[in-house]
Amino acid sequence: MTATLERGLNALREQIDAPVASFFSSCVSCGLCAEACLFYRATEDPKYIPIRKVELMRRIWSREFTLLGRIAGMFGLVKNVTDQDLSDWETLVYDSCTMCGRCTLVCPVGNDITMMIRKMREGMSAAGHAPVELIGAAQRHTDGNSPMGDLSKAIQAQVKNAINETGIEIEFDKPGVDYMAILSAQEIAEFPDVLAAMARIFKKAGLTWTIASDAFEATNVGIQLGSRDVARKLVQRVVDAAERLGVKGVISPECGHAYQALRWEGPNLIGRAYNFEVIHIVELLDKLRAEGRLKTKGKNSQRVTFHDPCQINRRGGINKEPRRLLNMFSEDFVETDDAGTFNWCCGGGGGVGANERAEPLRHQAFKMKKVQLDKVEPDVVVTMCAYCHHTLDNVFEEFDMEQEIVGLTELVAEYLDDDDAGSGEKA
Amino acid sequence: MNNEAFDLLMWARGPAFDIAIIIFLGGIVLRVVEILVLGRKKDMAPPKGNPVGQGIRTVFSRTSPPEGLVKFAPITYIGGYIFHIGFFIAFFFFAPHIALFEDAFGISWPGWGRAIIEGATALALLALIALFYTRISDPIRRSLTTFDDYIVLILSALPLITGYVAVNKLFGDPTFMMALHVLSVNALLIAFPFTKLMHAVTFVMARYYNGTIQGRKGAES
Repeated sequence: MTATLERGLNALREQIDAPVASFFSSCVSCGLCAEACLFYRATEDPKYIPIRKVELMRRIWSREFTLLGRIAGMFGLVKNVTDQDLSDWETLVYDSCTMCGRCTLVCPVGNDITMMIRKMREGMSAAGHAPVELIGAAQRHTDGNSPMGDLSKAIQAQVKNAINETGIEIEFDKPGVDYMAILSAQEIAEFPDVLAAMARIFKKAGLTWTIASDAFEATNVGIQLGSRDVARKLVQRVVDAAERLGVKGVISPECGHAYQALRWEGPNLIGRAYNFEVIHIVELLDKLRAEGRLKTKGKNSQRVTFHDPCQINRRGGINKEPRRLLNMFSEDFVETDDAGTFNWCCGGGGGVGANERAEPLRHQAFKMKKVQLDKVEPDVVVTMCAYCHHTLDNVFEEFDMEQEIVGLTELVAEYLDDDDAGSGEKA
Repeated sequence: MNNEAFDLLMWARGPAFDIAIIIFLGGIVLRVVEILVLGRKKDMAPPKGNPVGQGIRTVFSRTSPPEGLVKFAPITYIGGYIFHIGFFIAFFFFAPHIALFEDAFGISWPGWGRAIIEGATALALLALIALFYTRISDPIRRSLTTFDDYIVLILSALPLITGYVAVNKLFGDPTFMMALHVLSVNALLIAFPFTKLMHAVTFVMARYYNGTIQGRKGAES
């Protein structure tokens, strides 16, 4: 596989569609996207203005997809995109953008700049200008079963632990159950308590579930790297397992881009709708709550705030659900400024967290979130993305912040009312 | 001497204007077709929200600024609003302009008073000066600004300036100033499809697409 400039340019050309053309046609370089960008705001360096990050794609569009550009091109008035350009743009496209989507919400003409970054990465990776960590993760995941390497033994061990802890059976590869759960590598390696939490909540709700031994991992580095081939392969793995097991649905875990990959990009990657539904774990919990199948007892008196993962709220539409769940048992739930759709990113999304050279910039960018957290002074920060959790753990340590960080599913399980004989005990 | 100015005015609002309108309309059609032929793939993810409804809503809702952001770019926001509204008022509610529409399309509406029209024109011009100022003074705007942006600012200012001068007979020969006014409008029309002025048409598409993409996911836009 040779990664060449021509391949990169072709990949970029392929990404240019009517929305992209309408976006570039509409940009009046007002620069308001800068004010929405955590990397610009934290550094005030104009090179981080979001729309500048997709400049090379704009040049290709202008040069090849507009009449005037083509004429100007014939007279040599437009610069072609060179390999050096792509190389120069690598850090802008991968290190200083978490694809958080704030710019997309503020652009006065409505440009979805985040989507264009996603597209831009297709060209960058095809031309061989992607961070080595993402390339390595893609290799490990497509060759094996997770971006972190072989986690098949780890998942078996964690499931066994959860069974021992809860006394509830969790069966691998069980056909005909309601849901197939997938987990993020981060959860398996770092936050495995979510398994016991799910087991208890689902048992109480009378919901049956399983884990596929050949498709237990939910992350999809393909959409961070910008490789439809990688992304398609990883989505296909989950789809094959779910359809083989004949489940009603797949539960997307507390992981931002995993939800984005399977729920929104997946059907387009494999070219068809699935034979099952994809539901985010927090959507499912909220649904169970609404149906009276999830009840809590006791109250949490700690000061709790919620960190919205960009890909799940702003880019994923799950906003009220976590708040309804938190309000079931929180006595002191406080929102930060801009909570919900306009929440600031933790700084680790979109592959930035895996990218070592981006670390200093990422720490600087966390400033935006830190100011908000410092203002509400919570005891606990709750989130619904294991990678946000992981990133916050790291930056909290870096900035000597004492707050505890908890995944929402785990917290719900902590307050789960599983005493009364309730709604069916199928599992 | 007045004859030359009169001839120029007649040419500007006669053949020159016709050509400008043809380029304007033809250019817009070309640019819009250029965008639409690229198409977009059908989205196969089952929608959670209502993509089309939210797309249409976003065309309008994106007109208001996101909460709390105005203070970070006050000149761009406030200047932007004042310019657009002022230009719109001067263009659509000045009685002689309405008479042109009536001649061309047979439709008319009540004009607004001189004071409002001139106030709007002056404010729009001041806003353009402020917007120009941010383009050269603010690091964000300066780093993004291209030749095209300056052209667009100048082309938008000229009809306002010449119109104001001609109507108020501030200086120069009024007929000649009126000819300049019409010529500046012609220049604006001709440049429109091939510069960033085109955003005045394509923003509808961009906002719509943005709304459908977010709306499919049940996310806000």
